[in-house]
Amino acid sequence: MYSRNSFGSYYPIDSIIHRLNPILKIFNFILTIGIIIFAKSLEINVFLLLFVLLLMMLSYVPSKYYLNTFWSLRYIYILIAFICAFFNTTLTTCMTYIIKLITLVEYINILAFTTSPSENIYGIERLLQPINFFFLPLSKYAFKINSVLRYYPLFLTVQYKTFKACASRGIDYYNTNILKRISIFTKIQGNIRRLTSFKNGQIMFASVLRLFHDRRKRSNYRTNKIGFYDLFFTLFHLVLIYAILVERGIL
Amino acid sequence: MEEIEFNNVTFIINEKTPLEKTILNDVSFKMEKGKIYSFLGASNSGKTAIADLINALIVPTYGSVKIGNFINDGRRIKNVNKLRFDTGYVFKNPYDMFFNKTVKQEIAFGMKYFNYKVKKKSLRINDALKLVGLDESYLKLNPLRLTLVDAKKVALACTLIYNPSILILDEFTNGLNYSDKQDLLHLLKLLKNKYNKTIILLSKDTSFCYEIADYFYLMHLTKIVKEGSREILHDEELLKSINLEVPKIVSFVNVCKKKKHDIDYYTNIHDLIKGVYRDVF
Repeated sequence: MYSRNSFGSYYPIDSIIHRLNPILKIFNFILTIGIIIFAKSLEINVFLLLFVLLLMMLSYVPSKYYLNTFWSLRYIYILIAFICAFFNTTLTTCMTYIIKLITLVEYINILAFTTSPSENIYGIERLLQPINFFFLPLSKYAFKINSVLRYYPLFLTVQYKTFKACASRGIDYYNTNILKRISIFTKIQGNIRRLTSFKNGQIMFASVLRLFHDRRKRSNYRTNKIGFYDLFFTLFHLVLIYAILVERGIL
Repeated sequence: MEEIEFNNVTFIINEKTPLEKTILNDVSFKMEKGKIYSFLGASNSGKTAIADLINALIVPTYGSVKIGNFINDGRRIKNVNKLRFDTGYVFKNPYDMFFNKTVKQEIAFGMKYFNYKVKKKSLRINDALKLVGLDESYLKLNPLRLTLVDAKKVALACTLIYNPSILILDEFTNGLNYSDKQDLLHLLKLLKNKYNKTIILLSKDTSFCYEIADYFYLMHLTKIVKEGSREILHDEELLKSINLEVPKIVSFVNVCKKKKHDIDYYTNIHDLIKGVYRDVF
């Protein structure tokens, strides 16, 4: 019961990656998803993975946090290998798929570990700004998107704690058979969801407090600043996009 | 529940993986019934793992834990609920214990799932609340919206309701003010003297434990570095070396001794004041 999941939680330290502009961070993340989906060659994927490893190193978040997620997905890697073997795919393609998965998960981890909920909301809101033709309440949407992004990691943490609390007071989820597990889960999953929403609400409230100052205008402390690293990392993503376009014969 | 015995217990998380971490390292001790034991140590010294092992929420990687007739050694424990029923455990963060809608449901939860049958259930809930110094008005409140102190009291009531013979309090005094601590002292004394309960305090609060506990275990970086009666807390150098605060009474008496005033190590502030008047003035 001790293997707590650290997926998706913010790690508050000071590093180059923590200091990056949240708007560009999210923009780069969207570019990365594009690269992962469209890049076919192993070389581009390996290059992106190496870049992700560099970001991980620069984030100063202990490597065990990244390894935790990497390790918890070990069965999925095996499953991908089996599926590839079943469909007679080449080893290179199989490796490409596994690298794509590792890159995506670790990139999400970097984003989550290095971007606080309030920065995330601010970044999403600013990123949505250009499409605001109809004066939509973008800040509300940004809050909702962030809330959805943080919900599952929070759910896992709350679930772990609730199961532990239940075990110490008469319902043991971990030491029982599958039927009883289903029964226990159905009994308390409503409470876990309610508790997760409550805690999510608390995080949102804290984010609101941090994003607004006393005159109820957005504070833009350091989030509007674009530095050398911001430009460098965005340029790197754009170079990879260019490589894909060349690879696909579009350019 | 007679006694608790740890035999060379080692607890490692994520063993044989890149994330391997030792939480407890070769810990052995024995506890008797009806005494107050205190585990003192800084963060990450392994205190919570001891509580989890006694409550059988985790299993030791090596060694065994004997709690009365139950043995927690990695094999499946038959009737584990009976063990947990006898070992009431109040978590470090009381909010981690709460998942029901109201305080009443929260307190009744343990009774319901341990099949602890009492004639007048609501009376029993009210009594548990009174015992921890709260009134009936709390019953309808959302436990997650309580203040830390009240949440701790409700968490304690959740455990006391099914009358366990061993009570484990993890970092319970954190955030409590002086009067709350005094109330807790009286309650623990009552539980020990009148109901002969074994109480295990896991804490960094050396001053509080110095006043109430009978036996002490000093923990540092996954190991028990020293154990013994109250006298081991008189060693200021040792306490500082393991990042623990010297109990306030001890540090006062040590200063007096340096100034050649011979004062005994009293356990509470009232006796200390009397002693100072008698021995110094």
